[in-house]
Amino acid sequence: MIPEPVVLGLRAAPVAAPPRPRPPAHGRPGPRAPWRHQRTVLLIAVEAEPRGRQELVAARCRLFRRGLCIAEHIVVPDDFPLELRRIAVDYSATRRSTVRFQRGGIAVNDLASFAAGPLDRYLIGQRAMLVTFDLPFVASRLARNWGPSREGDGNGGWVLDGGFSLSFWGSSGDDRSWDDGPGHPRLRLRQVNDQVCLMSWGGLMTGKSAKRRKGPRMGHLLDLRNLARTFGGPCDRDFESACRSHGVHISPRHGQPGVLSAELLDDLGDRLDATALLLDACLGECDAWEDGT
Amino acid sequence: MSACAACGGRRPLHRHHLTGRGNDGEYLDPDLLVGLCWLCHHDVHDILRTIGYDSPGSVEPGVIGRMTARLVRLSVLLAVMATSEDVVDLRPFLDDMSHAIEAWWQEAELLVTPAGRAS
Repeated sequence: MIPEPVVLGLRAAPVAAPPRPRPPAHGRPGPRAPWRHQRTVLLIAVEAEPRGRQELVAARCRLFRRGLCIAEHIVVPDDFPLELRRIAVDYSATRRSTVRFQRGGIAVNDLASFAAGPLDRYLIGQRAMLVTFDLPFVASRLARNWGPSREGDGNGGWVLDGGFSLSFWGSSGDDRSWDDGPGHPRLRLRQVNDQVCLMSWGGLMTGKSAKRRKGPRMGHLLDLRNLARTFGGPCDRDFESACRSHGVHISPRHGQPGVLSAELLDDLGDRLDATALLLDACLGECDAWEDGT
Repeated sequence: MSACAACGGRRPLHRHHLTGRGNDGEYLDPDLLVGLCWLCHHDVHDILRTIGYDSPGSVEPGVIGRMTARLVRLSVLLAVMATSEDVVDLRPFLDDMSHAIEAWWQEAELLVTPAGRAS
């Protein structure tokens, strides 16, 4: 007897499928949502010095809850001169943000107060999924401390051995050692090759000080660079080409790279807009694969 | 079991007070209730917490303070309901209403001084 033929489908897509009309994928509710349907998403874009140590110039982040943008922050380095910080404060006072239910416009924080306040609430309190393009670079611009990384794979090996662990929270003690503080995990990264970087949050219950013993687990980490490359191919090495291959329009830059100005903060806002669209395009593509459409 | 007013899910419902508590700790409108599943209830309160309007202490004293709290809490609930896939037909209406009430809230906020006294 000849068995019934089985239809095999091969999806070869040099160009990403056009997004289907649907509500923002990152805001879709569900009781046990998979990683791509997170209820809370934190998008971050950073601007760094173009040369040298590539230190942080400014960062801008938006918090989304069920697809609603409910908070926006501009972050400047702790040791920024007052006149440069003034640029960010004036910018936030004059620009109208797209944030819903805002009371005082875009908040301007220095890195230390941003980490201790909003970043703690969003990433630990609300378990937001951290989404950026090129997460290792963005995280290392915002980190306050780094060290070697070690994480067991459960089989006696160390999957993140040889990588880095970054801390967004904490302070250094008198003996110059770093204490992350209670309940603050480290971000562990290990670059496997030029395309893959393993990353995970560290434990909430280890460390020198008494950490939160029954604290919440952390949210997911999503590097859009990896996801865009998965669907778009090897051309997606930078943000602009990733956006192009997924049909996301990105405005040309107007600010001088590495110099804080209102134009540069506008550029960061445009980048966040494009990041949100790129995230939706990539998640839509994930759904399309799952649906078989 | 009734359905959640925000997502339509058939899960045990929590009673959500649409306008919450005033600065004296009493519910502003005790009879104004809606049934939400715990996920949506959690979402509504997390958004209110993020924008600084969840706790009774965040409500400014006086009539205008209480009115602004009512408006923003109602606007947040409608915005959450508008994200539901179960109300596709109603979504534009809910979204428009949420934005309109948010605009009323922002107008009313101008009447409240930073120190919290209604002028």
